Amino acid sequence: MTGAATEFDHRLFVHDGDDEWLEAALLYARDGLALGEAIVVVDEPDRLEMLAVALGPDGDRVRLEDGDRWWQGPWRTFAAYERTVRDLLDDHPVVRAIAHPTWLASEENREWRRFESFANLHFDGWPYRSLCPYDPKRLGDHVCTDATATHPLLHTTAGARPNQAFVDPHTFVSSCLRDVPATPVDLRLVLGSVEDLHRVRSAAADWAAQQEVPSSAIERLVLALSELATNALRHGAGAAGIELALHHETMVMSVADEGREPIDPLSPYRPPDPGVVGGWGLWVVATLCDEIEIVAGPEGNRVRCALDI
Amino acid sequence: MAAEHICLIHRSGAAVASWRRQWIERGHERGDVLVHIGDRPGAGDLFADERWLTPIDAYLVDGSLDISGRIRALGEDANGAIATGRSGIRMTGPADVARDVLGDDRSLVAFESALDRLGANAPVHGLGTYDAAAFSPSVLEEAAAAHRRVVVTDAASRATLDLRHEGDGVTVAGEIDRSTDGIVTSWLQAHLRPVPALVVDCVGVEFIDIAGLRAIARGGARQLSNPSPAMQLLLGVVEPGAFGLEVVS
Repeated sequence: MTGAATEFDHRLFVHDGDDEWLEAALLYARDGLALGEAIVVVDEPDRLEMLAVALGPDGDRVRLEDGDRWWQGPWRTFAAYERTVRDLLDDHPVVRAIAHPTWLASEENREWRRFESFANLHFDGWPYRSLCPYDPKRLGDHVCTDATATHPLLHTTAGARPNQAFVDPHTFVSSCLRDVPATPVDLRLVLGSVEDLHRVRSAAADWAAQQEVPSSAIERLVLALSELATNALRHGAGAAGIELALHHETMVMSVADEGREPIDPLSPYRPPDPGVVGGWGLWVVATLCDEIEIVAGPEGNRVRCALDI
Repeated sequence: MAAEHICLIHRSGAAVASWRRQWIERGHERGDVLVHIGDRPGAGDLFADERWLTPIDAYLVDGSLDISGRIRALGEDANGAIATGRSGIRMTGPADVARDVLGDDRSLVAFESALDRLGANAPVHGLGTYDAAAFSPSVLEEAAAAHRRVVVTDAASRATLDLRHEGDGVTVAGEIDRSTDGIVTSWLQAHLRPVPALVVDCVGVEFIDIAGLRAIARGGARQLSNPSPAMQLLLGVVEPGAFGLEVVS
């Protein structure tokens, strides 16, 4: 990575229909190409086709990704963005994305907004520019309202201007966590050492089976539990405590340690460094669970997860 | 085919009793000379026809430490057993007793390594029972590496980990987590060979987490074959490439 931008240029472009999108995308892509930058476009296939036609021979120099294929759930999609940008920076000074989060049309994918916000922290200092087109017709009005909180810049034909409605990512991410229900605890387990891992996994699996939780969800629970318990014993000063409960169709797991070192609540969002063997535990938990929340306090850390069954 | 040489790591006597029973029954089926090393229990023992050796007779030569001499003598005993129509020699005993007779952990590991090499060519089978409380974790890792097969059992005497080296193949089965990762790494480092490939068969993996995957990678594996459903669950959320691993069918 050399020269060019030192801050992540993350722009929101709320637009009205395909024509407006095409005009802006074409201009943005051509500006980038003229500067030797890498261009990645994520959108629906019909729009990719429109852009390819409009670019003509330049189309070969632009990477087009079908949004439906690109989406692999929030954590893996974010990792795919990171990997793609990292790879392209090997032989380009800057990467430009024109990324329309087509998957936000589906209500259940709304947690992606946390990644739009987290991206501002994660890509800070990267020579990476992302024009994020949000089309209310395709995504819905409330999705576009959310997006004003997660993009520090607004894209206009005249360039970018600061977005007054931008919210600090730490605040935004924690404010839109889905509520992990506070529910009476069904099972409490304590680990004193890693020798107890096998026992607590068995106990948790037995409990879940008694609640008639499907086996695929039990397998996810047990793997997430093992990662969190291992972390809690490593970071913690002593024992680790696990609480499990079933609340309607959601399993709620809480793992507490006695550690003095607080865990960064945003760490589950950060993709592990490629080639580095450490730092995968929370990533695995976040990917397996439907919600994860970290509360770090003077008495230790508490990680709470929700798994839909 | 190489002789059996098993490192049984346990946290309860219950596991030892059932493994010893199976071990001896297999010896009866095969026609091995059975040798139990340790103090002979009282009357009523189920396997009264075993040959009992005191630890000093079993591990020392003329009352003094001579590991290579002892191993040579075991090879001769195996030939003698075959000459009288038996299949081989089948030994079992607690490893902490062996360690006390041999003098220290290092001598015990050296003895196990020599026995493992002997077993490649001679029908001398060994089941060493390792009480996890009697050894440090690092000695358990070294001792495990000196056996073609390693079994770790839990309090209910169920096998939680089973590592086997048979022919050119290396298999990991059971549960691999932070409690067994050191053993897995150390054992793989001793048993994986670049030819034909640094491949680990994972068909029997019942549970594996990041600590387990890291242990396999650190053990020198490059390929994972036959990933079990538990392995596939983990590989669905991590990049095997980040650990220097690839999945092969």
